Amino acid sequence: MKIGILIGIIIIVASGAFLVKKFIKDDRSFPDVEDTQAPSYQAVKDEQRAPRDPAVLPPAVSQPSNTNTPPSKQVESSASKKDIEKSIQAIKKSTGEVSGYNASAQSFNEHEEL
Amino acid sequence: MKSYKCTISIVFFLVAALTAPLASFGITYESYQQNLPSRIDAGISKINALKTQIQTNPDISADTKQQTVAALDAVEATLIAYQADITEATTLKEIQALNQEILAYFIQNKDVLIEQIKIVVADLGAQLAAETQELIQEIEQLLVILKKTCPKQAATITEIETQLAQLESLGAQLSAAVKAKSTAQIKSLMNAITALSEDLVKNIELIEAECVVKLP
Repeated sequence: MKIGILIGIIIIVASGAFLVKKFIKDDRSFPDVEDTQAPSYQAVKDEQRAPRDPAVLPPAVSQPSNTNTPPSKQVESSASKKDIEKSIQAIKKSTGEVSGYNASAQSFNEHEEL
Repeated sequence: MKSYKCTISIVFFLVAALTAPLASFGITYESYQQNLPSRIDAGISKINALKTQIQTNPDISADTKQQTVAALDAVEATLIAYQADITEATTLKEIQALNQEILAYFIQNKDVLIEQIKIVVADLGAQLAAETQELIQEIEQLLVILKKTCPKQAATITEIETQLAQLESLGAQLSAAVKAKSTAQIKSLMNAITALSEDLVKNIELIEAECVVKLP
């Protein structure tokens, strides 16, 4: 009789311990009284598990590191010889413009007084 | 009799002494009429030369041209008005007063040309800084390709990368100098950026000759 009661208590305690452990593992908590509008735990979990809409997935091809560059100036890494030469010409043109601005600035003498 | 003659001599001396000071220094109504307009003309010539230099420069932005030329126009208009006043002045007193006024105006506005030059140089510096950023981006993109297509040019590519880092630093310094309107510093940095970008192009041309032209 006593052994039966003891076994019964052990089973109840073990079951309780198991339930408490499972509860902690799932990070469940009781909602606050004011938090009744919040989505249920299961709804959040379901949403996290649901597959994303392909339209909102990031593109498979990585973007160029410098996003400030105008698209027309982007050069693909697989550019042809013609594209490379075109790119070099653009660099030479920019360098020419830099020289032009410099020559203009140097032509003004700041020691001029009325 | 002797004392009478002496008295007349003294009176003549005093009259001459009182009326002569301006004439004895060559400062007469005529001298003012002659010298003042020529001094104003010299000022107007300087203003006009600077205005032409600004207006004919294709690199200066339209806003800066408008702002600086308007400031110079205002000074020029005042000087032209003074020229008319000098022509109309009929007495030495009037012209002396005008001389004082013009002198004060020159002292007050002596730096007006320098100020306009500072504005122009800052404008050109800002444009060069923007062009430098564009140049850096263009070279960075080219390097990505050259690393793949011209791997044998690794040494030159590394040198270009070093130069590019220097160019970025100079560009940032130039932007700061433009904000501070430090004309001497702006000019010095513009010189340094120009020299460095020309060296960069030489290295790119080297890779072009050694590798790019040989590509299929």
